[in-house]
Amino acid sequence: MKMLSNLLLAALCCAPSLMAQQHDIPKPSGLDFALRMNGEKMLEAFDTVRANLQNASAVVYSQRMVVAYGVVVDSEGYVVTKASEVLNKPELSMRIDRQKYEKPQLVGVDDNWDIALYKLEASGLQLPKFKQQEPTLGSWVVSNGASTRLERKAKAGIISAQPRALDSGASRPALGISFDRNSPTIIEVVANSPAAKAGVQKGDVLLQVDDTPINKLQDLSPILSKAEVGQKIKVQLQRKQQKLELELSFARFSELFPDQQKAQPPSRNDQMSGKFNQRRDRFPRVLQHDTVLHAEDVGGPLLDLDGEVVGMNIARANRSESFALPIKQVLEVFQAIKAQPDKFRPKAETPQAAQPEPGKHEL
Amino acid sequence: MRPYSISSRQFLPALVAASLCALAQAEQPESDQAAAQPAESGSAKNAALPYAHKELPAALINTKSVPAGLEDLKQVQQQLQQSVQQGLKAVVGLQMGAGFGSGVIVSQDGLIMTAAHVTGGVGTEFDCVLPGGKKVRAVSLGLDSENDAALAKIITPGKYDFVEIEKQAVQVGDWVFSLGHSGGYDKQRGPGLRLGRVLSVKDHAICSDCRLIGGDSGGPQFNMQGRLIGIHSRVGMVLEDNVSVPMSSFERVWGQMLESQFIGKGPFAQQQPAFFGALSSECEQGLKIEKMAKDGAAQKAGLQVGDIITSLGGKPVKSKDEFSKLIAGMSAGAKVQLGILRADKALQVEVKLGTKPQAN
Repeated sequence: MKMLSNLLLAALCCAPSLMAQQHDIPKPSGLDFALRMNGEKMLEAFDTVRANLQNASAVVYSQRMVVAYGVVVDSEGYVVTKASEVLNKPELSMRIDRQKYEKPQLVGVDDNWDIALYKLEASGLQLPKFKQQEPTLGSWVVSNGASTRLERKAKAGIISAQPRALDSGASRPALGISFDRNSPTIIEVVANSPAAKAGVQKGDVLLQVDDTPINKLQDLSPILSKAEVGQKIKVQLQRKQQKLELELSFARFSELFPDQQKAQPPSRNDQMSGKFNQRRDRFPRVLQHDTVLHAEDVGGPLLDLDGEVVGMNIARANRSESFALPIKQVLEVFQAIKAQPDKFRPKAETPQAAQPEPGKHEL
Repeated sequence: MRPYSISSRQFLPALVAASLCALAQAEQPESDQAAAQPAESGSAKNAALPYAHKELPAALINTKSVPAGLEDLKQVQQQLQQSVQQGLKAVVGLQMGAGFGSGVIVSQDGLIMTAAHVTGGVGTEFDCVLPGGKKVRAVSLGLDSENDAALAKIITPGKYDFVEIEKQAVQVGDWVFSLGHSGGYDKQRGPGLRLGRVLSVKDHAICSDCRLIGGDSGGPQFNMQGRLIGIHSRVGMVLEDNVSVPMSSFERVWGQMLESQFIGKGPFAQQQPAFFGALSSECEQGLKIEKMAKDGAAQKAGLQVGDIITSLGGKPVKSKDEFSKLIAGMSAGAKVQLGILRADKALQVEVKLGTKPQAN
């Protein structure tokens, strides 16, 4: 969400939200389950496309659990998958069609795209067709659903937005100050942030931003919702008996916290979304679709109605958005890792990003 | 299971804006969508939705229980890709304070259909983001707080792309698609498209498997011909609980909404009680103003201490009781005509009613 700081948004979510009466939701009893978007009967129409999942996708197991899928990108046993869901998982194995492959070897990792390349002890695999042209808005797409030892099941959806780079969380504007939960009192100033450089100190109370008096934290929301990186604002602060006026400019959130992807408290939209992938942004380019994937359904191929691979599923982001990487870029990453695996060594395990302290809200 | 409302609206500062009657007169609509304006001779109560005139056959695919194979799927895809184009030109983002919802333009002069819990009140001015990112100003008209229907109007003059409204009721099993600014406006992404089927239909609710989320509220749902059939309202915890308000719910109160009425007692919006902002004493001719609240409605309208109020909205007032009762029936943002005596001269003053100031 571009228009206001995610953290502040979460704070506002604490306000009682509007809840409809239970009787306002009609029970979806009308249409037979089998006839719905991913109903059994409905999916029969996709059967010729589904059949291609047998050879195009690899089921990724950790111990005996399915943890992700992969795309078969080379007949000699190369498979790409979603790095952040697979690395560090114990006892990996993969299955293509009906054949199980133990101990896949990690070749390399491209953190930029969240792609890991594995090599299986296999040769002469049947390669799917790759379609480098990106599917247009409204095109049907098919992804991996549940798996049995024999069969890959399908899930269907449509391309639901424009392809684009996705760096939402990191590019939003931020000042580098944290407020108390209930009042505009500053309880933390991030070192080297625009706020710190301008001289803002812990304990200052924000009185006014430009011409807007700030009596409560919520008064800031309309200002933040319009903020852009580089924009300058004048703030009036109370410091003990003194009133100060300082000029600040918004920086990118990612510049303030370059080393860690901040663990965000779940937004209200997250709360209504079920399980989603931990890494669901910071991709150089994504296709968006409306398929109801599970967090474990990603990493596998995205097929169009011709049964050709147009993408690699990379994230279940929320209730209405799933993302795939365009296959053209996926194949480029595969070639790059295969050619120079030394350049794509996985990083040492990074410590968990710090959890935000409760009662603090940063912007 | 508790349903979530699906706007990103977190709170809404009560703003007071020009009443819509004044607005409708000031703007000369060039549109032939006459119903978007109160009818000249009659009252807006007779106004009907600007339904599409042409009868179209139901989408072919709706006659089958499921697509039979690739050919049928391609037909759905083709219809969707054709029909989504006009919708994309007419979906707007509504920036209500810090919150964000969606809406859809249904007349060339910028009438917007949206959800009551998005606008939250009558007469609020706000920024409306057009497709492509241009911002224009808009004002909320009336709303039905019981069924989550609302109208708004772009007040920046212009000719706007709009969608047609379907007169035929939707059927269970119909293919439908949704557009909305999920999670807020995102220029690179554009509005999110979702395809689904109608799962059930009730008097004031269409349930579909187009998966909606916060920010979609107020956004449009279309049939496969690209005609408007619903406005997104709410979701449940189950992924298949995605509820839109059907056109019939708008039709019931269309005229009243055009007249900027606040209909019903919630739960989708709560009426802000109107506040006049003056203390008075009864005298022979009417109510004599003794004191006025700073920046209250009375003071803003230019009333003075000593003015005597003789009538309100054409009705004579003699007692404080009568006055209070009349005000109690109005909502914040409404405009009323006051008859007053100032130094024995009879004057008419227009007062825009405000809201009771909140204690900090």
